[in-house]
Formats: sequence, structure tokens, C-alpha cells
Amino acid sequence: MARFSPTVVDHFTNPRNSGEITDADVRAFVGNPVCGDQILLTARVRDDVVTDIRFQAFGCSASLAVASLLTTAIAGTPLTDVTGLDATRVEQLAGGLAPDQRHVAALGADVARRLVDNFRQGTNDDDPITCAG
Amino acid sequence: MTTRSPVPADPRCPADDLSEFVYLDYAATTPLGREAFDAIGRGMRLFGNPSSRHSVGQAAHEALGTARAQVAALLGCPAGEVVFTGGGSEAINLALRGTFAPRHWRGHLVTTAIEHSAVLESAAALRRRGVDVTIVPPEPSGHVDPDRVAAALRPDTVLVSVMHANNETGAVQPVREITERAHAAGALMHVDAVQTAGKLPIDTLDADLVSISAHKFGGPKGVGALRLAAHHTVEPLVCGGGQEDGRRAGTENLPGVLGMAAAATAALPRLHDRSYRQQQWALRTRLLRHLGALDGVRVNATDPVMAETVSVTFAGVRGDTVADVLDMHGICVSTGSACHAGQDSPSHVLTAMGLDVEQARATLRFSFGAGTTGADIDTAGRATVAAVEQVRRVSGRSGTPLATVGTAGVR
Repeated sequence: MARFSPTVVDHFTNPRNSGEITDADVRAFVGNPVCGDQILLTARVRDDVVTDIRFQAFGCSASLAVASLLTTAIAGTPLTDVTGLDATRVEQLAGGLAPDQRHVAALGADVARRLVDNFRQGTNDDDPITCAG
Repeated sequence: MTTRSPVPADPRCPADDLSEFVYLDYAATTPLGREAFDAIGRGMRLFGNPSSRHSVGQAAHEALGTARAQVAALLGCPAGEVVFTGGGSEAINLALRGTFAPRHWRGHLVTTAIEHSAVLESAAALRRRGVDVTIVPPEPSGHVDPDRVAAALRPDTVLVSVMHANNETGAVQPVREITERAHAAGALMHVDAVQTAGKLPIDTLDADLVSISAHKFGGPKGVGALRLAAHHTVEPLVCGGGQEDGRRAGTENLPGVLGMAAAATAALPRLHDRSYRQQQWALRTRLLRHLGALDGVRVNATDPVMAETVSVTFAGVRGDTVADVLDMHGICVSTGSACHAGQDSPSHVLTAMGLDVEQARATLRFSFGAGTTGADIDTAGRATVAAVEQVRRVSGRSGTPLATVGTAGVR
């Protein structure tokens, strides 16, 4: 049995929207201190709709794929809908995740929720993803 | 519901059919060689029990004796010193636990921090029973200093256990010097040669106990051997019949043993073949030249090192992620660590050498063998450079220079 769904393979091998919007309206950063996975989202928001979004991700293959597919799900979406991206929905978007990859769905849901919260509260996560050096 | 077996029904020999993948994980296991493949078939037909008195059993008994002599040739010992086991881990357990059991779990064991878990877990089990254990750390180069081992020796040291070459870094350990020091102190010496059997000469090790595993040199999985010097006895781990001269009970795995013996015989000529060694070094140099195109690369062992094993740390990436990219391109390599269910532990070998957790996680191991071609190395080298660049790009991380041990591009 394949370790990854076709969707995860697709986003992992051809990531969409990677990079950083330097003059973003909102920045959301979430990291898992246990396994070290990190996702940074930067986005522009107009009339409560995400009009542009980019990601930077560090971690396992599934976390990179989830970061990419999250951006495709969030782009053009009202903020009220972004909050509905819970872990179950993220796993569905990924076409399923193996048990040892499911923590990535929670990470994706956390960063999506944080993006909305940060925008509404006018805060930004400015922690850079520091280099492993 | 029926589950489709992942085992191919096609009976072709794996070593004859490597074209589907670029397989660079020989340190984990090797493809079954043609000689072993054929010998296993013969062993399957020799259905008699080697312990039976009748002619069918005696045919199996004779085949077992021939196989024992073949494996003894690889180990450089009399056939009577070869004990067949259910793999390398069992051989190691028999060497360590079997030595201390008759001593009522008393005495002192010296081993190192870079040993395989079969040694380290056995050492931990011995410690729980009352054996004193000293773990010697490696140098940053990946090698164990014989003087540090000598300094750990005590009057009650029963056994010293050091691997011939490290499975993760390929660093070849000074086991000859360590053996001399152990013997001078009156201690026995065990060498875990699982990673080197069939690749480097092990017939001159001069150790009392030597462990090997068939699947690391073109033989089948689930069969190994322990060289047990005639002057030393161990308490068996597996009790029952008197097989293996009372040292390991259980009807012998004849197909497996014959497969291991055939693989050992096939490996013998290349052990001292200068052109074969040069070919392996050329493959190593070729791979490192490719990887040298990247910034922030560290090669995790200096000479002496097995040509066939290349451990490389790439700054700013996770090794498992790069390995997954390569896997999606049909290239099989391994990592020094893995992240499973959020409970990951970095390589104990790399961290013992002084790498931090991030560096240990940023490590890949390429290992190759007789079936590897220059084209395989070129494909893997180019794909690795592209994969590392891709993973760095999506993370926004760069190849910040790492403290260098080895240097890519230079032998």
C-alpha cells in the first residue's frame, strides 16, 4: 500500500504557492515542537476574503504537502469558511493520511485557524523559520 | 475481504532485476544474489532433517556441513567454530548474553556508543541483570579511539564488543588494535561484522566472537552466523535439541544456510580484488562530486571508511523529506533518523559523534554494492541535488555551511 495519497504526492512533488508575501496583511506561523514540523502562511485579505496566500514549510513530506494544499483551499475563500478547516477536513483534502502522518492535519488546521485569528486581532506571527545551520 | 500480497509471484532473482529502481540502501539489505537464489532452491528440495539418521536426513546433514565450511572460509576459522543463527541480531545476542549467562551475569562489558541496537540493547539487558557496562564514546570522525577503549578495561572485564564498521556512517573501526588491547587485558573480543561481511575481509579479525548476517551480502534474510572460538563457550539462548553442537537448538534453516553459504563463496573473490575496491571508491567519489554542487554539505566520516556507505548531512532540510522525494523518483536511500507519529529520535550514532538534533535529522545514507552502476550514481546524485534545493526553497532555508568533517567532492 502506498504511504501517501495521490493528492499528497502531487502537492509534495509540485508545491503550489510556495514563498512569502513580504507585505502581507497577515502572517500565521505554527510549529510542532515534538517532531519539528513548521508552517508559515502569509496572506492578503480584501473584504474578508483571502485574495493571495503563500506558504513556507519545514518538516516531513506530509506537512509540506498539507501546507501547499491548504493554500489552494484557502485562496479565494472567505475567512468565515477558513475557520471551518478542522483537522478532519484537512485530512479529507489530503485524500487521507496514514496514522503516523495525522498530526500534520492538526498542524494544518491550527495554522489556518491562526491565520483568521491573527487577521481579526490585528496581530502577526513574525517568528522567522530559523535556519538549521 | 482478501488482501493482495505485496510479494511478487514472479520467481526471478532480485539481483537480476534491479532496473525498476535505483537502489542505494545496501547497508539496510542487499538484493538476493543469483548464487544464493539457486542454493536456496536446492535447500528447499533437501527436505530431510539434518539430525535424522536415514539417508534423506544425511543428505541434508552433508549439505549443512559443506555450507558450514563455506561460511567458515569467509570468517577465516575452522568449520567447527561456526554457529548458525536466525540472523545477525541473534548472533550478537548469543555472543553477549551467552558469554555473561554462565558467569551469573557478573563482570564487566566494554562497548561503544555507536554500536547497533542489537549490541546496545543486549548491553542494557546485561546491565539490568547486574553486569557492569562501560560505553566508550566515538571521536567526531566517527571512529572509536583504541586508547579510550583500553582506558575502560578493568581486571574484571570479560568482554569487549566493537563493530567492524558503522552501519550509518561506514566508519571502519580499529578493531585489530582494540582486540590486541582486550586480549592483553585478559578480556574476550566480539566484533559485530554484520556491516562488513562480504564487503571487507573479516578472516583476519582475530576476535573470539564475530557476528555476521546473510542478507547484508547477497544472502537471504533470517539467517546469520556467530564465529565462536573453540576456547570459549556460551550458554545457548535457544534451548532444545543438541543442534549446532549444543550452542543453538532448533532444526537448522537449511535453505537459508545454503543461501548464506553460497553468498559467502560468491563474495570471497571480491574481498581482495583491488579493481572491485577501486570501482566502489570511484562510485563514492562520483556521488560526492554530485553532492558537492550544494552548499552546506557535511560527510559524516573520514577515512578509514567503507567506500560503499556515504552518510551526508544537508543543512536546512529534513533527511526523511528528501528521501521521500527521491523515493517518488524511484531512488531508494535511507535516513539517519525517522519521524513517526510525532515521536522521533535522532540517530544515536550521529549525536554521539557530536551532531545536534537538527543536523542528525538532516542526514541521508547512500549505500551501494556490486549491482550499482555509475548511471545509478549519476541519477541519484542529480536527483538529490534537485530534491535538497526544492525542500530548501519551500522552507525558505538555505544551505548555511556546516562544521565540516568530510568534504563532498574530495575522496
